[in-house]
Amino acid sequence: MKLVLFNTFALVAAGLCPVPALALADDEALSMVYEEPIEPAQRSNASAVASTAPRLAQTCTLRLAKVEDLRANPANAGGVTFMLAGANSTPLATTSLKSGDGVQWTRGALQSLKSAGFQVTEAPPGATTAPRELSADAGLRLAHAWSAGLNLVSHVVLKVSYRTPAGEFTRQYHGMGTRVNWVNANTEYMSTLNLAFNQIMRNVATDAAALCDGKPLKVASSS
Amino acid sequence: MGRVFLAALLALCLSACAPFHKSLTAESRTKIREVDVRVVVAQETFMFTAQSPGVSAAMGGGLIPALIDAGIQQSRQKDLNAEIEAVVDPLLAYDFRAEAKQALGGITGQPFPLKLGSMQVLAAMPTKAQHEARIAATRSGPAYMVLTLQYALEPGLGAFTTRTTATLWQDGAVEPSYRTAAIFQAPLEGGQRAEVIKRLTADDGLTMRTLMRDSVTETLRMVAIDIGSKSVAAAEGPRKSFVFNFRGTPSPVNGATLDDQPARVVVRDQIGALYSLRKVTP
Repeated sequence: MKLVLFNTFALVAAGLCPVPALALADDEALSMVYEEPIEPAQRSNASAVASTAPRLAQTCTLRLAKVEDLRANPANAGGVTFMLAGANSTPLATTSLKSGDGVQWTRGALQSLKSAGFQVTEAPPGATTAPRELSADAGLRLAHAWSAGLNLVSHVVLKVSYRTPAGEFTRQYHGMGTRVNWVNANTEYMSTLNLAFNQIMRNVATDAAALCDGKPLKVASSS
Repeated sequence: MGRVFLAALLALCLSACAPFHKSLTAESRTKIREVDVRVVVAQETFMFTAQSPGVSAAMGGGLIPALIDAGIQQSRQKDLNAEIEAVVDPLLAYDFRAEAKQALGGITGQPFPLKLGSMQVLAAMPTKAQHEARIAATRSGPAYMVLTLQYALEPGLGAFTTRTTATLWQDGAVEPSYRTAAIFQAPLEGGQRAEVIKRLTADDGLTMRTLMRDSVTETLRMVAIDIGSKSVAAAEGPRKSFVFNFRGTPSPVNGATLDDQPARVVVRDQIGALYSLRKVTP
């Protein structure tokens, strides 16, 4: 019987203390593969496929000029710390999450904008743009996941600088994800990070579509 | 096989509930020629976590209460998103690990009851295999002290807190020869969120960065005082009550004063946890 079967919920169900740092493989990097959200309407269908996000831009080209990993510590993506609940509690057990390739992850997320109707292409830095074309420099600034009680939580920050015929616009996007921690596996942390990135990409799609249409960017919102 | 795992888990749970503080005996102390210190900061930025409603604990466990807890906590966490963005965005530029490195650099030459060897800040907890190998190396090399530190802003931004477990291994023994909990807290001046953030980030984050460095310096000072002092029981003097911000709520800490400086006081509570608290201006 595998260790992962004795997960947080099994312990809680047995009335024991939850110790969430058990199934995590501390020597295995997260895959950092971006996955698009599954549409709720498709969940009841066994052949669920990746999201068909609202097609925001029918004729807009997004040229990716630069995709960077700007994290202060690209080697890790948070971790799991077990602490008791009291005022005098301190970390009892900590396991770090090893990060995979942040550039690959970010590029994958930006490429997913094709689902929203964008034509996504690679472009040299500083490339000029034509009408209904955007050039974007994107930098991953934070990829952070942690366990919180019986859930996993994540926070991702992406900085995007858009160049359009009308000028340059820079915005920093925050995305947060949370889901139940079933077996405390690396794949669950990755999926929680993807939930946060999904949220960011929805906002990037909205902004990019507005800029393509020559509209101003709306006030940033995390929701 | 399953029984073995359950027994191991039970042991881990019980050890989590056992007395935490372990004094360094005089015998162990005399055996230490030098100690290598590692400060582990295994978080990428400030974390804000919604509290669980505690349905599971109230009902004595079970899967359904656990699922209810998880669902409510998720909902509360989502409600925090805008708040988290507003707080973390301006603070993202300040790297706790960089400040911790600077703080460690300033500690060399400061009085410490053990001879300090190498001192490093680690961005991640060593893997289990690395950790075990490092402990085994204490058989013929320096002792090994790990300070696992977590930093946070209390809800409402009323205080900056670090919570650290300091553990010392020596002579190749798997069981640590010393362990303590050290909690640093600095109250932040009140005001709306934007005002607090503005103060923390003014002058290229001078206040925030100073707090980060002070927390590391003060944590090591607490450990030094603890190791250098008598046993917990012997050090019991008159107990006083101090104000501590716990999850945004003033919470009294009753403890014995171990060190009294003009600005800060180091207190040990009834289970041996150490606190470095700023003195309240009368």
